[in-house]
Amino acid sequence: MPVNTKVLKHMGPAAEKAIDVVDLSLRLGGTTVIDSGGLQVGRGEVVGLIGPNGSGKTTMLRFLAGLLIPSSGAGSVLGADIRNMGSWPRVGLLLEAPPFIDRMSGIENLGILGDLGGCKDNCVYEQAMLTVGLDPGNCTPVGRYSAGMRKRLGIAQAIMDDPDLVLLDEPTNGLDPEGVVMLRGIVRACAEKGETVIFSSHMLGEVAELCDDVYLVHGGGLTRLAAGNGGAALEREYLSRVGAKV
Amino acid sequence: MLESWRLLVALGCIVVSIAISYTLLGSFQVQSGGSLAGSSALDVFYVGLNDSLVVCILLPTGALALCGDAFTKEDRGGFSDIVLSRLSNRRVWLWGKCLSITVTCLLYTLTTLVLMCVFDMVVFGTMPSVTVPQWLAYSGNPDDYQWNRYFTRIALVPESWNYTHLVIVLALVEGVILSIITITFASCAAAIRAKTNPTLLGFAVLVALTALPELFVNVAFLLNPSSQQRDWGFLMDRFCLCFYCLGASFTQTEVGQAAVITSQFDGQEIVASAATQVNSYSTLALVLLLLAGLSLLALLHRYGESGVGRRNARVD
Repeated sequence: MPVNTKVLKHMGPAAEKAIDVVDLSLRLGGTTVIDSGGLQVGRGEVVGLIGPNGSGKTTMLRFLAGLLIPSSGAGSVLGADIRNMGSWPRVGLLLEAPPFIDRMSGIENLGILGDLGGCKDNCVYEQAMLTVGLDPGNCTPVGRYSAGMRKRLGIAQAIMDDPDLVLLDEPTNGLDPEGVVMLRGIVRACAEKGETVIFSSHMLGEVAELCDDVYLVHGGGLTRLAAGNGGAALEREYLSRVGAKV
Repeated sequence: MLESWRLLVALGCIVVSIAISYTLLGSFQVQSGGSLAGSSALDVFYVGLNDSLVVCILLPTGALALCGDAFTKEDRGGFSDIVLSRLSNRRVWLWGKCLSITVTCLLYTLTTLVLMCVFDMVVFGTMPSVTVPQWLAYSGNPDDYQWNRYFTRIALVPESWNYTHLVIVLALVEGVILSIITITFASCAAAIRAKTNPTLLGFAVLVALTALPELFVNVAFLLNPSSQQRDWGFLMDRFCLCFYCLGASFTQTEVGQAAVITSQFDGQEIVASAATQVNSYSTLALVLLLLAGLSLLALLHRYGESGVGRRNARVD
């Protein structure tokens, strides 16, 4: 029987790398969004995805959440083969505009979503709400929440039951400065617990400060950028890579 | 909690169905000389099931309003993504949706039956009966079956059958048919990522499918008046009870005896009975299987690449 050595090569060291993916292609509605991209992330690392609007950052996060089967590629995400339809690691997913059941309160929404994953402990929901600065006793329906409050509730939903992989899509959008500081604390706390955090953002200063690694999603490719040189350096590199004229 | 517009459309469809059933019952009453012998409170529902407008458009529209957007509703805003990323077995989400549509459609049909029955009992004081009403009964032998006893098609019932049981079974079968129609529209709307509400989409398609065969027959008649076109369709008529013969076998497509000339009147031959074509139950099963297959393909197309087959498990 012929053996696909390319696949085997990337299934072995899953324990060392949280995410190790090569030659990744993602198609969405007949359009190739990511073509031959690669992503390597260690356990407990914080990685930022940056790129122009519509470049495929959200598609990449949906793939990492196991919600999009790649059209080609090899590798694993926390030990799960990306081509396999079997198990997928537990992820905490924050969408850019977090969807909730509008007529229910924040704690009720967390309760319903937590229940789906088998978490039935009310204390977990209350603690998650307190962590993001929301009052668990607030009975206001989520439909009446401001954009910032919705985002905070979305973050609470993503982190509430200690997922293996935290995926945040534009987490700073809509947050006030206090919320941004809170988010930094949450991301660092997740990383300290060994959870891998990947977030997309246009706030390059925030990305440079928080991330161990930065990937640029542009033109269907994933390019690793130099991190740790500060927001200004990252911005310069970003602009030169995307060919922007400022 | 059910949104008010869903409830309004679903109840509206039941109310119009009741009105249509009573109109038909009224015409049967006139044709049979002023009264329907042995009529029962279950007749309103039974007559409704014999009307193509009720079973092909009204009841499916009511069911679509209740749960036709079961898949597309959660796609908006990415709520399904959040749900799928949390469920330990993602397949449960897909099959759970199909099951909830089936249960909703069964409950909707049974509610229609109960409302029609109670309405008839309260307004006209008619009671449900176990025995088949005389006006609907026939011997049970398909060879004796007379098609147009009331000039309008209605499926006659073998006189030895238990009428209450029959109507309940028919309500359950209608519920299953509705659920397959609803799942088909819901899954196709999800597959094409329809922006329009599946209720509106489904209503438009149902009206077109019901009207087109008639249009086809009329045009064919205009082009060639001597042609013998079937005056019913090829898909939607399978859902209407009046095109079947209760008591016929599963694959039987012809009932009544071959044409017999019994007498001559004023130089013209009078035909007392003639063989008539009916839909066989096997074709209904085939249509339902085809729709179920189409739904499965649509769901595979929409969710096959979305990781719905995966399980979420904690990494050790």
